[in-house]
Amino acid sequence: MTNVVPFIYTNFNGIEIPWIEIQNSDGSSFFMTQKDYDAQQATLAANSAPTAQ
Amino acid sequence: MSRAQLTSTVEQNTGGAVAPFLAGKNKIINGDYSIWQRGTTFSPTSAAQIYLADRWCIYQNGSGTFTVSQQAFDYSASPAADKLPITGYNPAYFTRLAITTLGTTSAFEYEQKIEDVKTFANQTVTISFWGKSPTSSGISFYYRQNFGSGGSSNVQGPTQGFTLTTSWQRFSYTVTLGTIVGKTIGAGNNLEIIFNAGIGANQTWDIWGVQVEAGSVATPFTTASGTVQGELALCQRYYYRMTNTTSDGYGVFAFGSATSSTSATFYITLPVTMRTSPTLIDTVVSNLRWADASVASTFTSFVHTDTPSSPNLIALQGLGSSGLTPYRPTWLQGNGVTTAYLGFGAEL
Repeated sequence: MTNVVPFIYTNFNGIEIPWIEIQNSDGSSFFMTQKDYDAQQATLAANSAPTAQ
Repeated sequence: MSRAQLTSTVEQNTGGAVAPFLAGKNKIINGDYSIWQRGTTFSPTSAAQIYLADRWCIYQNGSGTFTVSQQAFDYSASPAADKLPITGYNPAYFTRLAITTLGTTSAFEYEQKIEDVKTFANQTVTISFWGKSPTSSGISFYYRQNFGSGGSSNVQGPTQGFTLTTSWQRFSYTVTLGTIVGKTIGAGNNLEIIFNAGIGANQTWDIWGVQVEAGSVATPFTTASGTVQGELALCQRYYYRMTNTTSDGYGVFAFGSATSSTSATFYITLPVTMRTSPTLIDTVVSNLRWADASVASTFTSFVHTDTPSSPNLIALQGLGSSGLTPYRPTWLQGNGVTTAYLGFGAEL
């Protein structure tokens, strides 16, 4: 079970960047920008789902 | 065909006069499963891409529960039957993929993404691996040319099926990869080498020694680099994990300074140039804390930005704390947890 928690980060130049935290049930977390997360989801969707052989 | 050409072709195809242990021959990194930075047991439970032993990932099409684990070859006088060594090689570990519960899953892809879709394009390659299965499960193999973000549609090669038996066997598959002429190549393009299987409950696959090489013959297995340190460096181009190194769990990870009463920035020089500025931070936030000469506390999250971060340097910002004194030198350390870690990802 994972939770995806968005948050806004203001960088060194005062620019707001959307980040997300993916919280796993074992306590570990993955932090990535919303843009990278969206790109990875798009890549997963583009790769057709595995087919049974 | 001239004699010289014939000789050259024969040598190339048999590994004859060409030394079979050339570094770089095998395009698969960590094909011998010697590097496990992320851990040694994984339990993927959803249709997401989960990274396992370095460079290897799994994707399933449903909600099944897998257990993917590091297994040690047994070199004792009476080795366990399922951990018998492979004749002619002396590796330490192999990978075991096992289905715990099936859920809605009917198939999975277990794969490695080789950076650069131009790899072996329009060339004949031989893909080989050793496999066995206590449950005599079948497995299939194919490649997929992934042209990256904004690139041409993926090109998937023909499928070759194998039936694994209860003892180690080497399997190989020779195929000519598609051409990339006329294709649009986008960012993050890669060549995917994929194991695929339709699955049932209680199935298990053991895999070791995956190799992808030019030519039509599977030559003796060698790792991509040929050395332990070389293989680790190749893996760290895509993922790097720092771990606590002290017995009390307060090992120091990085130095920096407080930037406000709630945040601090730490600079971490990476051991190798990564593929890109890392796009992922992997940790257990509560297992790390900031400390200065006076006080210490935990953060609630970590971020970095592309500037000033780079493929060589991370500027890691800890956020959401309190009690920091702005501009005071500060370090990042374990929070009394011996298993504390901080990982950075630049995977494809």
